[in-house]
Amino acid sequence: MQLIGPTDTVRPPVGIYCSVEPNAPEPAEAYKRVLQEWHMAVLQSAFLTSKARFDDARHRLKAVAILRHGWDSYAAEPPNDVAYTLASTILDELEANHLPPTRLMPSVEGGIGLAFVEGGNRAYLEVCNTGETVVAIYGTQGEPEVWEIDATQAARKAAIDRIRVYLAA
Amino acid sequence: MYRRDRPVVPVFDPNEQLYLRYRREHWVDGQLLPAGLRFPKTSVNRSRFSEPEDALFSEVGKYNGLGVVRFGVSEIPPRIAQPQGPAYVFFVAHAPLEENYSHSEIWSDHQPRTGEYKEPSKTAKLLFRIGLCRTILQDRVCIEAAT
Repeated sequence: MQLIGPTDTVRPPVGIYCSVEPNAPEPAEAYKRVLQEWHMAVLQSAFLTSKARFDDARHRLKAVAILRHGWDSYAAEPPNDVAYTLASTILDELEANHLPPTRLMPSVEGGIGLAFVEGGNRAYLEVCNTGETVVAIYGTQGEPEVWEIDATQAARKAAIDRIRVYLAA
Repeated sequence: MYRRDRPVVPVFDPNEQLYLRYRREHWVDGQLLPAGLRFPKTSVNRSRFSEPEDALFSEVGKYNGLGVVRFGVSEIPPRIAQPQGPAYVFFVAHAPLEENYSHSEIWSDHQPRTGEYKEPSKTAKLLFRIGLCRTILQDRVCIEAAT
């Protein structure tokens, strides 16, 4: 397929460019170095890491929509529309607050879970098929803190802020 | 594996191990997530009558790709107190199936015991699930999940 741009715009074709010594024995090595540097830059970018996590979470959210009864090999109910819609809203709110989940997955309790892991600190938010939402913060030691939040944006924002503070501690 | 008229054995040694199937998506950073642990009626196989591999036994291969983790009977959180309402106690009961003699389930009751199943609140259940998940670390993986 040929891509045709405006005729008055002169620019080189899209590609990866790097300088190569005229007598370099392995020109491909120069390109490999450039690609490795770019790859490291991507890995170290907080913005790109966050974006990748949200992309992964949305991809997983779509995947839970096709689960059937007993998907967990025991007798779990699949997430229903109530859980799906609420989890999608929470994902948008998490993105607006720059707090990407480490993993989104179906819960064997019937609903959708969002897990956050930062070193030894963890948070877990579960959206139940009933529309209820429970949140937990816990580490390797000590008593976990668990609470239920109501279905308001203010309550979800307060939970997001509390998770963020806990993970950063 | 098969029951073959064998009786229920209600007594569990505190050191006895319980085997649970898990999916790879419920494993993050060396620990099982609460999303992979249901309550009540947490189905497990007891080690007195089975091996980890038995948890994946199916004549039609329906457990292919799943993993198996283990935890001790003594690691089941014994009691969860609530600021309001009664405390709950948790215990494992042998509940053999015809095709799975080792099958057991984790249940709960009020404290003091009523002798019946009492469903804890959502927050108490999540506390229980987290308490158990914190013990299910990498060294408890008997068979690693592929899917």
